[in-house]
Amino acid sequence: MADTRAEEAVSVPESAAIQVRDLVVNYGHKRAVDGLSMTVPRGSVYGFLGPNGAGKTSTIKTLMGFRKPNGGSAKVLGYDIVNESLEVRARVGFASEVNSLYEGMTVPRICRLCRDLSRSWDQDLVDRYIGVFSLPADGKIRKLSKGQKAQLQLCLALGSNPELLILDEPTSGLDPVAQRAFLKVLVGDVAAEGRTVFFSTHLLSDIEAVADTVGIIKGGKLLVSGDLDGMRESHRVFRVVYAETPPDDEVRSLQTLPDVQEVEREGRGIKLRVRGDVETVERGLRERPYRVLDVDSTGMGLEDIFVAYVEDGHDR
Amino acid sequence: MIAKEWRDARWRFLVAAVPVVLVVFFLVTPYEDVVRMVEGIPGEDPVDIALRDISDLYYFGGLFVLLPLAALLGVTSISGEVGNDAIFLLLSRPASRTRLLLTKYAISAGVLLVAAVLGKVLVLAVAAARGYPIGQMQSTEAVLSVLVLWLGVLFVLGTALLVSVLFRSITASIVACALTLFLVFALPVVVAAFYPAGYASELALRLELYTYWMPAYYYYPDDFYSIGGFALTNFLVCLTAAVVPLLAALWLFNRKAY
Repeated sequence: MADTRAEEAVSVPESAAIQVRDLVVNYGHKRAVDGLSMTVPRGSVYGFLGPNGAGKTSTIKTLMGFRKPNGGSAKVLGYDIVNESLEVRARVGFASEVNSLYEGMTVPRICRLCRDLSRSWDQDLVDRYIGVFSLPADGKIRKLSKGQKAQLQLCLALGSNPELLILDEPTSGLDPVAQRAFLKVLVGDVAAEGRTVFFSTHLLSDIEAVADTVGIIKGGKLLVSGDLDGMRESHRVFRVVYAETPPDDEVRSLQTLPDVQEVEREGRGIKLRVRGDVETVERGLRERPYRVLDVDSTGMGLEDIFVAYVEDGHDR
Repeated sequence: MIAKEWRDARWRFLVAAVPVVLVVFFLVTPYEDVVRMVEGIPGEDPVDIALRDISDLYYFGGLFVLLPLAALLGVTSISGEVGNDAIFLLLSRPASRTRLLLTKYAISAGVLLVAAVLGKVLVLAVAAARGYPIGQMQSTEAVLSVLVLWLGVLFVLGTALLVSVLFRSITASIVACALTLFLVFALPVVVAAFYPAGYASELALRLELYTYWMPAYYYYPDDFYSIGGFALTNFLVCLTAAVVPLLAALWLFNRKAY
């Protein structure tokens, strides 16, 4: 049965599920997280995207209290991650990128272990998700497939009825079918219940499938963060078709326009990648000193946006 | 958590129990043999000798069984969890690290206490079956020998736990634990072996090194047997030695990054 303490746990008056300010995490002399600042809105499905070694797992481990930050601060559901780590963990469900289950246990036994270690436990909810994933209710964990283990970890993370789910590369290593089933439940059930989901991934397909907000991290720094639709709107590719082939001066001139990231020739036209105030850029493109036949723009795909940031690496 | 820790510990306990039973059955000589040996030695009471033999057997048997068992229980406590990544399952729950470590420690200490008590009961039962006048043994003597041996063994458990927190790999933990315990238990012997010769009191000094600087010396409440008093020194030394590595392990575990 659901414990009433779980309901108390969600009533922290904070607008952000996660607030990070200038977070620094070092591994010896190596800086894994380098002054990271970000805000994860409540109720969002936030995809924390970055290449391998970007600092995603280090950030998550620090938020969960597995390691202390070397600088900066962070609050999760309004609780300080260092001084109130137990309060954070009481309200957050976590699933690791690695299999952190006891292989020798059965599903009911590991549920009992997690229940013993949690302040509140909703076995009905766990059983429901075990049913949704069609997991063997009495099976030995070592007999489960990798995908089933990831699904079981999600079930266990949900057992404490958390307001916030933090998932570290949840679909890493899963086959496409298991990956799809996992994400379907994540967005169709978990997020639909109003929980905030913060998950790290290096898979753009995960973000496209479920996230409504995205942050891109590289080298321990957040490059960009915002809602996915807005990000697509503010990242566009313009194609300007001139009546005659424009001279090099025009190409150089376009490169100086604000928010223009990249300019390249395409036959009689010029292609520009823009991020920022796209309307101002579009107006500027229609008022060129050379005769322009057409200005066309398309939204950048997430992959293009990701590649542009990761290759560029400019802070935003 | 307690159920899980007990399940983890019980197999090690059972593995340790089998040789204990065999050893006790083979090493307890019949009481008639003790009496025959003592006959002809003036001033020696066969009952005292027999009961002392039983205490010695329990002490040495306890050392050779409980020390490895304590090391085994302690050394895999945390590094085992880190090795199979289950540490993240434990640390992601709202249970303090102090609680996690103390639970593991308490279960292992409980298993060792059960082993120490059962060992004593087994030795006494086998001795009684072989004709020893067990009824003449003071019950406080029996209880004290179990208590002090158990407290002494907790030093090994705490040290193994500390090593287990320190190292992430089980293999590294086992090697480090073995090395640490070898240094602690064998160092006095090594130092005594290299003690400069030529001193008149060499033998006495060596004996002193072998005994007073040897942790295991205090696991045997000799005071009680020789003068019948409470072995306060043994008790305090064993208690201190048990608590210090545990506190160090707690301090380290609460600061360790995973």
